[in-house]
Amino acid sequence: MKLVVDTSSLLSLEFMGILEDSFEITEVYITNIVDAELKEIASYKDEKSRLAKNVLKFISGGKIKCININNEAFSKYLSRNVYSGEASCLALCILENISLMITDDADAAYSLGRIAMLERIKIRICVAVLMELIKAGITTKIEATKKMKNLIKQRSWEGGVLEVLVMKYIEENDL
Amino acid sequence: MTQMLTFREDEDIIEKLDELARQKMRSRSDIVRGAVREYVTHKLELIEIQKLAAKRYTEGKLSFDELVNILGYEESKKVAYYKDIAEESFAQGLS
Repeated sequence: MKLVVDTSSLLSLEFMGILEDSFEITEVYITNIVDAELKEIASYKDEKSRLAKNVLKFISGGKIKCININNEAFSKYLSRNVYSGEASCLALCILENISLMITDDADAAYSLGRIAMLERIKIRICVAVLMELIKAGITTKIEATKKMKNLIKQRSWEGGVLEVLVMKYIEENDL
Repeated sequence: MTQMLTFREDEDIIEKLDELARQKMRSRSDIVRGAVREYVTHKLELIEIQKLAAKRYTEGKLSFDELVNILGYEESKKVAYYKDIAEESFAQGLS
Protein backbone atom coordinates (compact mmCIF):
# COMPACT_ATOMS: atom_id res chain seq x y z
CA MET A 1 0.00 0.00 0.00
CA LYS A 2 1.50 3.34 -1.10
CA LEU A 3 1.02 6.53 0.89
CA VAL A 4 2.12 10.10 0.37
CA VAL A 5 2.73 11.70 3.74
CA ASP A 6 3.24 15.39 4.45
CA THR A 7 5.50 16.97 7.07
CA SER A 8 2.81 17.39 9.75
CA SER A 9 1.87 13.72 9.59
CA LEU A 10 5.45 12.43 9.45
CA LEU A 11 6.15 14.32 12.65
CA SER A 12 2.90 13.09 14.24
CA LEU A 13 3.67 9.46 13.29
CA GLU A 14 7.18 9.76 14.70
CA PHE A 15 5.80 11.49 17.80
CA MET A 16 3.51 8.49 18.39
CA GLY A 17 6.48 6.18 17.80
CA ILE A 18 4.80 4.36 14.90
CA LEU A 19 6.56 5.71 11.82
CA GLU A 20 9.04 2.82 11.70
CA ASP A 21 6.22 0.30 12.30
CA SER A 22 4.28 1.78 9.39
CA PHE A 23 6.99 0.62 6.94
CA GLU A 24 5.88 -2.96 7.65
CA ILE A 25 2.46 -2.32 6.11
CA THR A 26 2.98 0.63 3.76
CA GLU A 27 5.38 2.26 1.32
CA VAL A 28 5.83 5.85 2.43
CA TYR A 29 6.52 8.52 -0.20
CA ILE A 30 7.41 12.16 0.27
CA THR A 31 8.45 15.02 -1.99
CA ASN A 32 11.70 16.98 -2.09
CA ILE A 33 9.69 19.92 -0.69
CA VAL A 34 8.70 17.91 2.40
CA ASP A 35 12.33 16.80 2.72
CA ALA A 36 13.42 20.46 2.70
CA GLU A 37 10.77 21.35 5.31
CA LEU A 38 12.03 18.57 7.57
CA LYS A 39 15.62 19.78 7.18
CA GLU A 40 14.55 23.28 8.18
CA ILE A 41 12.64 22.00 11.24
CA ALA A 42 15.62 19.82 12.17
CA SER A 43 17.80 22.94 12.31
CA TYR A 44 15.74 24.43 15.18
CA LYS A 45 16.29 23.55 18.82
CA ASP A 46 13.00 22.10 20.03
CA GLU A 47 11.05 18.84 20.34
CA LYS A 48 10.00 18.95 16.69
CA SER A 49 13.64 19.21 15.68
CA ARG A 50 14.38 15.87 17.35
CA LEU A 51 11.42 14.27 15.57
CA ALA A 52 12.44 15.76 12.22
CA LYS A 53 15.99 14.44 12.62
CA ASN A 54 14.60 10.94 13.22
CA VAL A 55 12.42 11.18 10.13
CA LEU A 56 15.38 12.36 8.06
CA LYS A 57 17.30 9.23 9.10
CA PHE A 58 14.51 7.11 7.60
CA ILE A 59 14.76 9.10 4.37
CA SER A 60 18.53 8.79 4.11
CA GLY A 61 18.22 5.09 4.97
CA GLY A 62 15.80 4.59 2.09
CA LYS A 63 12.85 3.58 4.27
CA ILE A 64 10.96 6.64 3.03
CA LYS A 65 11.11 7.30 -0.68
CA CYS A 66 11.66 10.89 -1.72
CA ILE A 67 10.48 11.97 -5.19
CA ASN A 68 11.42 15.28 -6.80
CA ILE A 69 8.51 17.44 -7.86
CA ASN A 70 8.82 20.57 -10.02
CA ASN A 71 7.27 23.82 -8.86
CA GLU A 72 5.07 23.87 -11.98
CA ALA A 73 3.46 20.60 -10.91
CA PHE A 74 2.10 21.93 -7.63
CA SER A 75 2.04 25.75 -7.80
CA LYS A 76 -1.59 25.68 -8.99
CA TYR A 77 -2.61 24.13 -5.65
CA LEU A 78 -0.96 26.81 -3.52
CA SER A 79 -3.22 29.17 -1.60
CA ARG A 80 -3.50 31.10 1.65
CA ASN A 81 -4.00 27.82 3.49
CA VAL A 82 -1.93 25.47 1.38
CA TYR A 83 1.85 25.69 1.48
CA SER A 84 4.33 24.05 -0.86
CA GLY A 85 4.69 20.88 1.24
CA GLU A 86 1.04 19.80 1.11
CA ALA A 87 0.57 21.07 -2.45
CA SER A 88 3.55 19.01 -3.62
CA CYS A 89 2.16 15.93 -1.84
CA LEU A 90 -1.12 16.19 -3.73
CA ALA A 91 0.78 16.67 -6.99
CA LEU A 92 2.83 13.54 -6.23
CA CYS A 93 -0.34 11.53 -5.59
CA ILE A 94 -1.67 12.61 -8.99
CA LEU A 95 1.60 12.07 -10.89
CA GLU A 96 2.35 8.67 -9.36
CA ASN A 97 -1.26 7.42 -9.16
CA ILE A 98 -1.14 7.08 -5.39
CA SER A 99 -4.63 7.19 -3.95
CA LEU A 100 -3.86 7.98 -0.30
CA MET A 101 -2.50 11.19 1.14
CA ILE A 102 -1.90 11.61 4.84
CA THR A 103 -1.96 15.12 6.26
CA ASP A 104 -2.70 16.41 9.73
CA ASP A 105 -2.85 19.99 8.54
CA ALA A 106 -6.57 20.77 8.75
CA ASP A 107 -6.28 23.98 6.71
CA ALA A 108 -4.52 22.25 3.84
CA ALA A 109 -6.75 19.18 3.99
CA TYR A 110 -9.86 21.33 3.67
CA SER A 111 -8.46 23.47 0.88
CA LEU A 112 -7.24 20.47 -1.13
CA GLY A 113 -10.31 18.34 -0.38
CA ARG A 114 -12.23 19.08 -3.57
CA ILE A 115 -9.31 18.48 -5.92
CA ALA A 116 -8.45 15.31 -4.03
CA MET A 117 -12.02 14.10 -4.42
CA LEU A 118 -11.97 14.88 -8.15
CA GLU A 119 -8.73 12.93 -8.53
CA ARG A 120 -10.09 10.08 -6.37
CA ILE A 121 -7.43 10.60 -3.74
CA LYS A 122 -8.42 9.85 -0.16
CA ILE A 123 -7.21 12.26 2.47
CA ARG A 124 -6.66 10.75 5.92
CA ILE A 125 -5.01 11.84 9.14
CA CYS A 126 -2.20 9.95 10.91
CA VAL A 127 -4.71 8.04 13.07
CA ALA A 128 -5.55 5.99 9.96
CA VAL A 129 -2.03 4.49 10.04
CA LEU A 130 -2.49 3.62 13.69
CA MET A 131 -5.78 1.87 12.93
CA GLU A 132 -4.07 -0.11 10.17
CA LEU A 133 -1.32 -1.18 12.57
CA ILE A 134 -4.00 -2.50 14.94
CA LYS A 135 -5.58 -4.47 12.07
CA ALA A 136 -2.16 -5.93 11.25
CA GLY A 137 -1.62 -6.91 14.89
CA ILE A 138 1.46 -4.69 15.16
CA THR A 139 -0.01 -2.63 17.99
CA THR A 140 -2.90 -3.13 20.40
CA LYS A 141 -6.02 -1.01 20.80
CA ILE A 142 -4.94 -0.05 24.33
CA GLU A 143 -1.47 1.02 23.16
CA ALA A 144 -3.03 2.93 20.28
CA THR A 145 -5.37 4.74 22.65
CA LYS A 146 -2.43 5.90 24.80
CA LYS A 147 -0.62 7.16 21.72
CA MET A 148 -3.71 9.05 20.53
CA LYS A 149 -4.21 10.67 23.93
CA ASN A 150 -0.63 11.95 23.82
CA LEU A 151 -1.17 13.21 20.29
CA ILE A 152 -4.27 15.20 21.31
CA LYS A 153 -2.16 17.28 23.70
CA GLN A 154 0.06 18.33 20.80
CA ARG A 155 -2.73 19.46 18.51
CA SER A 156 -4.36 22.83 18.03
CA TRP A 157 -8.18 23.00 17.73
CA GLU A 158 -8.10 19.63 15.97
CA GLY A 159 -7.45 18.17 19.43
CA GLY A 160 -11.09 18.97 20.31
CA VAL A 161 -12.33 16.72 17.49
CA LEU A 162 -9.82 13.95 18.26
CA GLU A 163 -10.65 13.99 21.97
CA VAL A 164 -14.28 13.14 21.24
CA LEU A 165 -13.40 10.47 18.66
CA VAL A 166 -10.86 8.80 20.96
CA MET A 167 -13.44 8.66 23.77
CA LYS A 168 -15.94 7.15 21.32
CA TYR A 169 -13.30 4.61 20.23
CA ILE A 170 -12.64 3.66 23.87
CA GLU A 171 -16.37 3.19 24.54
CA GLU A 172 -17.03 1.23 21.36
CA ASN A 173 -14.11 -1.11 22.00
CA ASP A 174 -14.78 -1.47 25.71
CA LEU A 175 -11.21 -0.42 26.61
CA MET B 1 13.25 39.92 28.92
CA THR B 2 13.27 40.20 25.14
CA GLN B 3 14.78 38.00 22.48
CA MET B 4 15.85 38.89 18.98
CA LEU B 5 13.90 37.40 16.10
CA THR B 6 15.11 37.53 12.53
CA PHE B 7 13.24 36.46 9.42
CA ARG B 8 13.26 36.92 5.67
CA GLU B 9 10.39 38.40 3.68
CA ASP B 10 9.73 39.22 0.04
CA GLU B 11 10.85 42.65 -1.15
CA ASP B 12 7.35 43.85 -2.02
CA ILE B 13 6.12 43.16 1.52
CA ILE B 14 9.16 44.94 2.98
CA GLU B 15 8.38 47.94 0.75
CA LYS B 16 4.78 47.96 2.06
CA LEU B 17 6.08 47.61 5.61
CA ASP B 18 8.35 50.62 5.11
CA GLU B 19 5.48 52.61 3.62
CA LEU B 20 3.30 51.80 6.65
CA ALA B 21 6.14 52.66 9.04
CA ARG B 22 6.60 56.01 7.25
CA GLN B 23 2.89 56.84 7.40
CA LYS B 24 2.61 55.87 11.08
CA MET B 25 5.95 57.54 11.89
CA ARG B 26 7.13 54.32 13.51
CA SER B 27 10.13 52.12 12.97
CA ARG B 28 10.01 48.92 10.93
CA SER B 29 10.54 46.96 14.15
CA ASP B 30 7.63 48.70 15.93
CA ILE B 31 5.23 47.78 13.13
CA VAL B 32 6.39 44.15 12.97
CA ARG B 33 6.35 43.82 16.78
CA GLY B 34 2.80 45.19 16.98
CA ALA B 35 1.61 42.93 14.16
CA VAL B 36 3.17 39.81 15.70
CA ARG B 37 1.74 40.59 19.18
CA GLU B 38 -1.74 41.21 17.80
CA TYR B 39 -1.68 38.11 15.59
CA VAL B 40 -0.34 35.74 18.24
CA THR B 41 -2.77 36.90 20.95
CA HIS B 42 -5.76 36.84 18.62
CA LYS B 43 -4.81 33.46 17.14
CA LEU B 44 -4.39 31.77 20.53
CA GLU B 45 -7.76 33.10 21.72
CA LEU B 46 -9.36 31.93 18.49
CA ILE B 47 -7.84 28.45 18.80
CA GLU B 48 -9.31 28.00 22.30
CA ILE B 49 -12.78 28.97 21.07
CA GLN B 50 -12.38 26.86 17.94
CA LYS B 51 -11.24 23.84 19.98
CA LEU B 52 -14.25 23.98 22.27
CA ALA B 53 -16.66 24.56 19.38
CA ALA B 54 -15.09 21.71 17.37
CA LYS B 55 -15.44 19.41 20.38
CA ARG B 56 -19.11 20.30 20.92
CA TYR B 57 -19.84 19.90 17.20
CA THR B 58 -18.16 16.45 17.11
CA GLU B 59 -20.13 15.43 20.20
CA GLY B 60 -23.32 16.44 18.37
CA LYS B 61 -24.08 19.14 20.92
CA LEU B 62 -23.77 21.92 18.35
CA SER B 63 -25.42 21.94 14.93
CA PHE B 64 -23.53 23.12 11.84
CA ASP B 65 -25.61 26.33 11.82
CA GLU B 66 -24.68 27.01 15.43
CA LEU B 67 -21.05 26.33 14.59
CA VAL B 68 -21.31 28.89 11.77
CA ASN B 69 -22.68 31.47 14.22
CA ILE B 70 -19.62 30.96 16.42
CA LEU B 71 -16.78 30.48 13.92
CA GLY B 72 -18.11 31.82 10.63
CA TYR B 73 -18.88 29.78 7.52
CA GLU B 74 -15.37 29.07 6.21
CA GLU B 75 -13.90 28.00 9.55
CA SER B 76 -16.97 25.85 10.23
CA LYS B 77 -16.62 24.12 6.87
CA LYS B 78 -13.01 23.41 7.79
CA VAL B 79 -13.98 21.92 11.16
CA ALA B 80 -16.71 19.82 9.55
CA TYR B 81 -14.32 18.56 6.88
CA TYR B 82 -11.67 17.69 9.46
CA LYS B 83 -14.27 15.85 11.55
CA ASP B 84 -15.24 13.83 8.46
CA ILE B 85 -11.70 12.79 7.55
CA ALA B 86 -10.87 12.05 11.18
CA GLU B 87 -13.96 9.83 11.49
CA GLU B 88 -13.03 8.07 8.23
CA SER B 89 -9.50 7.57 9.54
CA PHE B 90 -10.81 5.92 12.69
CA ALA B 91 -13.41 3.81 10.92
CA GLN B 92 -11.59 2.78 7.76
CA GLY B 93 -7.88 3.16 8.49
CA LEU B 94 -6.13 3.27 5.14
CA SER B 95 -8.83 1.33 3.27
